[in-house]
Order: sequence, then C-alpha cells, then structure tokens
Amino acid sequence: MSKADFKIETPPGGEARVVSLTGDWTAIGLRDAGERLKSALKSASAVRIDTDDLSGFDTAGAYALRTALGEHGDDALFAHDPRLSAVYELIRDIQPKVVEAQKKTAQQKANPIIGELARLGRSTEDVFKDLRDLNIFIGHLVVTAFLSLVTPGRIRWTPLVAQMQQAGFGSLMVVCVTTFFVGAVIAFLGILQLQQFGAAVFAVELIGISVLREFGPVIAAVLIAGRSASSFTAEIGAMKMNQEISAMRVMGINPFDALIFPRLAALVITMPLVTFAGSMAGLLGGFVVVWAQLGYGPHFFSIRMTEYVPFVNFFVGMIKVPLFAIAISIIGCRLGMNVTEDVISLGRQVTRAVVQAIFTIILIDAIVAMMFNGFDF
Amino acid sequence: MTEAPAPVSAPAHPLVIEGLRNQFGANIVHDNLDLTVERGKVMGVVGGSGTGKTVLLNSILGLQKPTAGAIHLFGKDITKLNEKQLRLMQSRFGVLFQSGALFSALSVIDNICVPLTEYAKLKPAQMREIGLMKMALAGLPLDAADKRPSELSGGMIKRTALARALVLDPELLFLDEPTAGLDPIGAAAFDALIRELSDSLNLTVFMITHDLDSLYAICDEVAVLADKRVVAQAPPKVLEQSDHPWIHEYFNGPRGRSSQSRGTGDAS
Repeated sequence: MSKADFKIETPPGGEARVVSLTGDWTAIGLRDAGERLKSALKSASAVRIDTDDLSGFDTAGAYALRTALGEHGDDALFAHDPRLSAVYELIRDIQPKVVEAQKKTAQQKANPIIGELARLGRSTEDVFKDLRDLNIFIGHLVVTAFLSLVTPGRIRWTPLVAQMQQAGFGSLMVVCVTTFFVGAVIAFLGILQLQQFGAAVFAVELIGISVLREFGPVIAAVLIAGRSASSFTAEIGAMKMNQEISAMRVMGINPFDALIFPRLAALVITMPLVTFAGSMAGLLGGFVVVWAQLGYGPHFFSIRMTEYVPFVNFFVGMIKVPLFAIAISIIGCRLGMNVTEDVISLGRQVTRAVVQAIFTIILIDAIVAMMFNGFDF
Repeated sequence: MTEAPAPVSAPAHPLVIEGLRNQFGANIVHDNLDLTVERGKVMGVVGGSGTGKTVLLNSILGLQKPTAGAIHLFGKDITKLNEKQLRLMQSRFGVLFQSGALFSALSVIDNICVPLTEYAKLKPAQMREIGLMKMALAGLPLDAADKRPSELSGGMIKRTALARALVLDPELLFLDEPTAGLDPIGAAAFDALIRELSDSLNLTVFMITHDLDSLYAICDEVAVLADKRVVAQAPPKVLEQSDHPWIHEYFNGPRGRSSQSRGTGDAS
C-alpha cells in the first residue's frame, strides 16, 4: 500500500497545468494528500489530470480530488479511462451536498453553556417523569395485587411457583454461604476487641444481635437484589424488545397479572424464608468461631443466645424483609418495562435496576432502624 | 508484503471455494461444495431453509472454520493467513449482515466511519465527509447522520449498513438477504442501488437472497444450494429450464412465474 501523492507540472506554452497523481488515492492511502493538493492548486485555473502512476483510486480519493479541484477542469477529466471516470462521476454531484451538510451541522453546534443547561433541564424533567411513571406503575401493581387477593382465580400459579424456585430457592445457597462467613468475621473481630476487656463471652450477644437484626436481612436482600432485580429487568426487557409484551396485551393477557405480580409475590413469600435460613447460617458461622476460639460449646452458645439476645432483634430483622422484597420486585419489573427497542437501553436498565434496588434496600433499612430505635417488648 | 489492490487486471477470481465441507457432529451441512465468483459479477445464492446459506457465508468470512476444503479470496487461502494479512484482506471486502448489525451505541455517521477509524489515517472532519459521501451514495438523507440506529426505519438501517460495508470501497461485497423485511418499493430501490454501485465501482457481489425479484433484477448468475453442494450455477433465465426438482419448483412456482414476467418486462 503506497501513500497517495501528486506532482504538478507547468508546461511552458501557457497550457493547463498537469497534475500527476501517484500512489493509492484510496481511503487507506489518502491521508492528507487531498488537503495538500488543494492548497497547492489554490491559484490554478484549469488543470489536466495524469493518472499513469496511479495505483489505486476509490470514491474517497475521488472525493478528495473533487474537493481539491473545485470547479476547475471538471469536464472530461478522466476521459481516457472509463473506470476512473465512473468513480469520479459518482462523486461529482455528491460532494457539494456533503459540504453543505457539513456547514449545516457546524452552524447547529450550539453554545456549550446553553448545551449544558439544556442537558440539566432535560435530566430534571426526566426525574419528575420517572417519579410519575413510578407512581403509575405502583398504582397498577396495587390494583393487581388487591384483585388477586380478592379473586385468587386471577393468580397465575405456574409462573409464581417458577419464580419462587428461581428467585427464592435459587438464592438460598449463596445467601447462606455469605452470611455464614459474615457471622464468622463478626465473631473474630468481636472476640478480638472484647477480649481486651476480658469480656470475650459477650461476642455471642454481638453475633446474635448484629446477624439477626442487620446482617442477615440486609445481606440476603443485597444478594437477591443483585440476582433477581437484574434478572427481572433483563427478562421483562428482552420480552419487551421481542414484542412479547405487546403480543400478550393483544391476547387479553395483562402483563401485570402474568409477569409482574408473580415476581412480586414470589419474592414476598420466599425472601423471609431465605433470610431466616441466612440468619441461621450467620449464627452458625459465629458459633463455629466462638467454639474454636473460646472453647464454648453448643450448649453454652444456645443458652446465652436465648437468655441474652432479646427476641425483638429477630422481629425487627424479619419485619423489613417483605419491604425489601417489594422494593426489589418493583424496581426490577418497572425498569424492565421501561426498556425500549435497542440493546443499549436493556443494558442500561439492568445496571440501573441493581443500583437502585441496593440503594433502596439501604434506605429502607435506615428508616426501619430509626423507627425501631429503642423499641422493646 | 503489502500488495496494492490492482485496479483493472487481477488474475485471481475474488472468491473460489473448493471442496468445502462443513459438519456439526453427525450433521453434514456442506459436502464437496465448489463455487467460483468472477470479478465484477453479481452472484446470487439461493437455497431452501436449512441448506446452509448462512453457514456458507460464515465460512467465507472466516467466522467459522470449515471441516475440510479451501476458500480462496483474491487467490489466497483465508485459513492460512496470519493476523496482519487477514486484516488487510478484511479491508478488501465489505459485509451487509441480515439485520444490519449496526452498533447501537454509535450514531449513523459513526457507524459508517468505524472501518475508516480502524484502517485509514484521516482527520475526523475528513472522515466525516467521506462518511457523509457514502451516506449520499447509499441513498440516505444527509440530515440523518447524527441519528441513532434505534431511530431508523428498516430500509434506512439496510442503507446505513450498506454505506458501512462500502466505506473502504471494497472489491467484494457480501450481502445476506439485503431486501428481506423491506417493502417492495424499498426492495426494488435497494436492488437498483446495488446494481448501480456494482457497475460504477466494479464491485463483485455475493448475495444470499430469497427474493426472486432481486435475482432477476440484478444477478448475473445464480448458485443454487441443494443436496449439500452447489447443484447449479447459471443465469436465472437458464435455471428456469433446469430439471432439478427444487430448482424447477423454485423458479416455476407461482412466485417464480410472476417474477419471471416482471424480470422480462424490465429487460425489454
């Protein structure tokens, strides 16, 4: 591949100057040859083209040549070579249009400050639109949920059970393993710190309260948000892209009944169960460490748990789980329904679903923690 | 060892397939398939569903390694090229995938300029001009340059994909069902566009199609895939007389007949 170049010769007799093109006047070989030729020809009147050393010529080269030559010597430029002429003729009338389109876009480029302000305005508007859409979605969902409770015949059991299996039971293993290790880590750290006061035995209370009240529910919810919010968005979004949702609507199937309520119900039913199992695994993790480090066996651990860890901790931990489940399923399903036809929007909505779900979980957790602060029974 | 694409008299055919065999487990898709496409010709490839048209295209493009046989592009066996040679080869052909395969994250003009950014050392403004020029060549309105693929109609997606396939002025153009999903007027316009471009740019075109009208309108030759190989390769007018049952059914069925009469009408 040789670079595009040219030579300009001025014959003595005042004839038209001859431009000899050499090398590849192609998209790949062109580089800056067109611009150089243009500036070299600035003052020229008529020119002739010599193509004896031209090894390649394509539409990009023709375009550069057309730009460089302007209106000079357009007629019968390649009269001796019909192939080159065909390529050049193809471009000849297009070039002015392209230049015009380029000018137009240059004019349209607005002031950057105004552009930024417009962007800010648009995203503010989007936030409000989003809130409105969220309310509409929740409204639909509440109506669907009530109708399903009043007339259980509406409930679609097959997808409900399938979702319980997939979103609930499927997450059991990962939730249990994670909380087990979290419980163990709390025990390690607790024993290490409390030993300094000779109060290592209080690690049992530390484990019990923190796992039952906070870590069990929150870790289970975060893991399920990562697994299920994303998969709800991806599944529903893919169905939306494939026009499956439209097909359902046309057949008289309400997607809220068929897709969204089963996912909501499945999480509301299974998440407390998974969370309970996770909390138990967390206690087990803590117990294993206590036993290994302090030598207190199962008997001691269970007595200390039942006598010194108030039941209210378990209650506060479990009461927020259905709220987490509702938040995860609403966010996952709503963003899935928001997917438009292109692939990029699917990816973006899945990411948003996970981020929003985890954010909402932490928010709910904080609100519940404040509400039950000092609560006792 | 870079070799300039010789403009006029290159000895090797753009595409030669010899004894191609593609096999997936026990399922033999192609067996001993031979096909030659001559320079400057528009070759249509037809065949029933499941005869491996797309597998054939994927093998030629190097997306799928054939079980046996050789595929020569411009006289070189594509399975024996090193990375650099393969890249050079890839700049010499363009592909229009069936659904367009536009990058959804990029605007129309950026999609078209992707091969330029990969292969050509040009300034951004220059690149944009060449991209716009290709848009005009492909019959796209120039004010669509900054649209996203999701905002385009089916016909415009095909045209954008064609502009992208043509942006490096390839010598060989692969089209996978270019008119599928277009309305008859759009399909006819697209056919005319491909014919015009192939004539003025001396393009060799390899086109998989189901569209009988396209075959009659623009193909110099048609290769018929059946029985795991190319059973016939001839101009459509000749294939009408074929004894092969599938070919006979294809060209002389109700749809074939209407295209035949139209094809003759266009020619006269």
